[in-house]
Amino acid sequence: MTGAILDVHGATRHYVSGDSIVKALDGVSLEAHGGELVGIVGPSGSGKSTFLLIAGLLEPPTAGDVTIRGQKVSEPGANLDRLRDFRRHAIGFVFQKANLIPFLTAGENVALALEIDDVAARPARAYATDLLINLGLGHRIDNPPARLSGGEQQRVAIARALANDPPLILADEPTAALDSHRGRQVMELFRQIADVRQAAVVVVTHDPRSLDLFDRIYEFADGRIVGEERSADKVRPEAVGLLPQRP
Amino acid sequence: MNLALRDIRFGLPRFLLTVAGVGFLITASVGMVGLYRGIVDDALLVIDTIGADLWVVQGGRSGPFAEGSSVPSTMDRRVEGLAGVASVRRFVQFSQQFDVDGRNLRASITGLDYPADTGEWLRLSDGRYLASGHFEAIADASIGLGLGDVVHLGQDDFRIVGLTNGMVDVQGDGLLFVTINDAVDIAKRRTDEEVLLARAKAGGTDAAAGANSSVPQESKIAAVLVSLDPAADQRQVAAAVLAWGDANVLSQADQHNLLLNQRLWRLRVQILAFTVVLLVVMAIVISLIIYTMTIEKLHQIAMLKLIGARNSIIIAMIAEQAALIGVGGFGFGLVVSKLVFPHFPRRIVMDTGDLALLFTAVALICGVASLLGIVRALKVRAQEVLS
Ligand SMILES: Nc1ncnc2c1ncn2[C@@H]1O[C@H](COP(=O)(O)OP(=O)(O)OP(=O)(O)O)[C@@H](O)[C@H]1O
Ligand SMILES: [Mg+2]
Repeated sequence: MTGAILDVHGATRHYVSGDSIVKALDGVSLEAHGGELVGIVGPSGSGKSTFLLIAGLLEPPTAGDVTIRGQKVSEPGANLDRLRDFRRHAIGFVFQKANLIPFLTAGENVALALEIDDVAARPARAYATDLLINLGLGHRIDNPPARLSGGEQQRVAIARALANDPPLILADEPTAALDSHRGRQVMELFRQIADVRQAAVVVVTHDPRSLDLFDRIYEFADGRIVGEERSADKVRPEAVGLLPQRP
Repeated sequence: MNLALRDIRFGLPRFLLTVAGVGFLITASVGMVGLYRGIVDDALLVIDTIGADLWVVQGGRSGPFAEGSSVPSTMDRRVEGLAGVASVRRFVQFSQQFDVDGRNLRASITGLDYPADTGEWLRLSDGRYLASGHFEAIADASIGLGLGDVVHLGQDDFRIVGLTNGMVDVQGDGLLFVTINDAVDIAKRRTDEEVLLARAKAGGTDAAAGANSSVPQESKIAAVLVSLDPAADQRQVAAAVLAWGDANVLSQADQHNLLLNQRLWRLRVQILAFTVVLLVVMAIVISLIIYTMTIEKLHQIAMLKLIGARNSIIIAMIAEQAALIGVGGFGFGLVVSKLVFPHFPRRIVMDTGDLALLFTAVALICGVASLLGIVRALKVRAQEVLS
């Protein structure tokens, strides 16, 4: 196996609240390789979101470090605002809420991610269209987010996260706001992204029904990994040739 | 993709309303400043255009604008005899109300020393100057009279032979020019009732004061206008007049000073104070609009940061919207001003310098407000998307 795309080592995160210290994360080490769909489960407050923030370079760890594609990018005291350019190329985020820009259409929301990465407006737009068509949203390209259903919005958010073809995708409860059918669809999409794009996809989820799709599942409790499960018989949904090449 | 424009397109009615709101504030500011300029301009209009070096007025008084003044109508002969005096004209001005075709009109009757003065210092918009010693008048358009109209003033009918534009007195009443002899007659001849009313008002102590004339005494005028020889010493001529004891003499600069700093002082300060209040309100409202606009977008800005947008994209979005609101509002305000103010009863002067200054102020306000917004936006952390 080639080197891990994401390598978090001994990540610890303390929050000071009042005179007590909350150990949101307590020495978590976790790797994710290209083509892998990695799940994180655990009770509320167990540090799952905190882990994603640290892995996604949105918060520095109190101790430990984060290496992405062999490059050590975050450690205690790191200035993460400087890593915005790195984040743009390397990481795609999906959250429980789609967080689309309300004044842009679905197509523009996706194209924006490309334009931010210096792709010219026309090819950006064309690629965004391709991507949305492949995600079954061809009829929604010119609609503002407010006209889209929750599942549609989430798929647009996934298209946006994919647009720059990042090697690492981090998702925090992406299906929590969706019904089980649409939730399953979104999870299958992540599976395909890992398979077709060879991206490392790390998904925090509460949803036990989709766990069959994952390569590995980590269980968090009290800021630590308390269990790891490898599913040998994971389900591989048919890849629908969904992912066109980025310009 | 231009985020500022997309956002505006998305909330177009709201943006247009905002621009209109800012625009009306700017209209109000333009109007306030213009009203001030207009009042000053109107006040100085006659003094500046009539072209007199010195005004000889009633002794001990600073007439005829800041105070009343009445001098004998023969005073001009005395003044004419002084060394250094090139020419003299008699001057009288008083307010008069009259009916024309059932309309109640108001004018400031101003005497021209015909035939020496036929009104050629006026700029006519229509008609001609006075050509007869009696019963002709030049009217300002603001009075509401037309060329050829006949007005009954005093006991005579006057025909309007010429029209001017924007010739008004300190109060904004249009000027109606007649020969000085006619003017004195109009002032003198009043109805019995008017005489009685005036007496009652004066408390019966008017017998000697000539209550049957609105220029205080019969055959009196308000002032004598003096044009000096180019070589003459203004101070010497003034000293000679003062030496008579019964007359005072004022220069054009004195008249300016009296009007602006005495007669109109309170009004000017009032308008200026109001203008300051309005400008402060405008500054606060515009900066609030722009700042709130940014604050409302903090979530989206955090999202932009999350997907890796450079600061320049965020700064451009905020600054462009601020600029569009500022420029749009100013343009809208200016258009409304140009459409509306000409119909106002008093002159609103839209001075290019004032407008440039106002634009600079608006630009500055927008700049500072968007800067505050930008500082706030750059402080937003990407993970705030999650909260
Ligand atoms: N900014 C913060 N300041 C203080 N405490 C925090 C902060 N962020 C998280 N915590 C605490 O850290 C712990 C872990 O939080 P985290 O959000 O990672 O949990 P989670 O596993 O994502 O839970 P959930 O399933 O409810 O989303 C919690 O006890 C939380 O209260
Ligand atoms: Mg969480």
